Amino acid sequence: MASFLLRRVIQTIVVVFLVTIISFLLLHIIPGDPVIRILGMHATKDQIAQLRHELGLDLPIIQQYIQWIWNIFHGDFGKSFVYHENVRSLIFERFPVTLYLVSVSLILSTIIGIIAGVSSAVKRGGAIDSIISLLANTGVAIPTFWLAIVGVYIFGLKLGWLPIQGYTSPFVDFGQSVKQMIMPVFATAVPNIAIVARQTRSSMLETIRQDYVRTAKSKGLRQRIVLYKHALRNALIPVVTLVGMTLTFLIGGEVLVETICNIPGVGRLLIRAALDKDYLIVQGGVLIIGTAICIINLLVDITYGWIDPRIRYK
Amino acid sequence: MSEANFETLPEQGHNKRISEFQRFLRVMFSRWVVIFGTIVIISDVLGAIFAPQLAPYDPNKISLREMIQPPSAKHILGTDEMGRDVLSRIIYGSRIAVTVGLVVVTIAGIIGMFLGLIAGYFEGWIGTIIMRFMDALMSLPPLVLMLAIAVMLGGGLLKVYVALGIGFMPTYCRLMCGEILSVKENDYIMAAKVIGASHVRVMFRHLVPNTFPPLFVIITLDLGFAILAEASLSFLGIGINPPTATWGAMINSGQQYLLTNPLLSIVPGVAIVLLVLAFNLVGDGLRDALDPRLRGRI
Repeated sequence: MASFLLRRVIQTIVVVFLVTIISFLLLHIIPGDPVIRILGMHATKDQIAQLRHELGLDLPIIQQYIQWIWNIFHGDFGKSFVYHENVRSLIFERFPVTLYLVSVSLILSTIIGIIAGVSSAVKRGGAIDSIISLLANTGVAIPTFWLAIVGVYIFGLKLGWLPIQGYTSPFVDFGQSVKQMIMPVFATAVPNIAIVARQTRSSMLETIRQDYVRTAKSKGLRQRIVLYKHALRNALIPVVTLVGMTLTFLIGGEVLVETICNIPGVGRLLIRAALDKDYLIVQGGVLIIGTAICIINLLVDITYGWIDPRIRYK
Repeated sequence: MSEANFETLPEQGHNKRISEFQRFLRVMFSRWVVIFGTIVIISDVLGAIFAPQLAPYDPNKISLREMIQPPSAKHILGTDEMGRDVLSRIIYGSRIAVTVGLVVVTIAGIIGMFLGLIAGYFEGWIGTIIMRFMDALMSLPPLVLMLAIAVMLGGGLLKVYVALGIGFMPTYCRLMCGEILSVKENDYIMAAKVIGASHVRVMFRHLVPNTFPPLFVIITLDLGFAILAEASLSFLGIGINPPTATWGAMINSGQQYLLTNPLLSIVPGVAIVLLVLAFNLVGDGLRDALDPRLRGRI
């Protein structure tokens, strides 16, 4: 276990290091001079020189990286050009909202996806399987932002059942918070349910073919026990290790939905920043989201390595 | 007697190849959803090619007297906020969708497969660097990564292609690397090396052609997902070139007129779902047809 832990931690550190390189390079793929792009054509020479110095762009590139990462470790992600505020506080203020919505969506969609995938696999080839498979195929093909808009139209504007936008903290007004959350969570969850259902189905079908499942059946265990105790538990391993990947898709959807439903989270901030060419927010956002996902992946792997010894020796 | 045998041998081989291909087609098109997907894709491609002949109106013709009209005999899907014909814009929008898929998959496929080939063939530190770099790219939400790259590069459709290409690249790299690692173990690769074939020859002549089948499946699926990603970016207003019609941008501009004419947002979304779904269904069909474990079962 110790060597597995050490290996995974080192791997994560390497990947996080590369994530910092990618985020760092983002500012350097801006064609032309980023300082002029930020300040506009009418900036004076002094302003240009000052901002260039502030961003460290007057240093050799390796030194730039070292200085940048040094600042990041000290919590300094630079200053937003639009909000004139520290990028770190801008992002971290909005982080809980996004984290909350993404977690709810992740948990719900994983549960529903697993149930759908198992029902599909158990009734392989039957009507339920065909319907679930077609729904799952459609689910991954639906643009999240479109689903949110159609939801707003039907449930918000036409039926008036749900508020069409906004966000309330569950600690302030729980009922209102849940009402406002239904639409965005639904929109981000649908594609994820589809991904999880497909993965569960194929993994379950693979497991049902294994020798130990046949042994369990032939020693006369009831179908239900064989399916849920012997097959499902093993079939879920690839599904759960997939959480890291589904999380990246969920966050992508969340970014779009926050913009549509006017939710004050990191996603809306990122998109506003992207459209305003507020580069440091985009850079900081990519870095923080990427690092968070690496850490979550690490935790998922460690938990699984702890539960299932086979994972440790892979 | 022996002569006759020689004459029939190549003939048999030929027959076998045909039946193998026929078997592939039979498995592939045994389910109606795959046929449905194929039809949708073909009609979208035809729509993109023959857009000028098929569209009833000029997609960019502004007619302020006909703003936001509901469907009528004159405008089957109504008109948008500038009086432009929605049906014509949907048909022209398929041009962007079809091109995006092809261009993005080409960029991602070529770069990704090349890096995967290098990583899988040489392994060692160069392989480790490439693969860990792909891990880093994959730990970022694709949409956020593509958004960031497109914005940093400065917007425009071309930049969006590049951004999407980078976003889709890691899958190809990983898959190619895995395939190469397993194909490399075959005796014929060792044989090629022993008789003195160069690295380049071994890679491109002996390894690459044997890795394609699983890549076909990913390519088909990604043709759809690239369309979805481009629609998300153009929905946000990144990479669009007004007045060029793209489905994502149409959904966005229709959003403000949901109460007056919801079709403005709904119709382009349906177009996206249909085409992406079609690529998914065909990709699944391809996977079943190529999967040796399913041979003889369907």
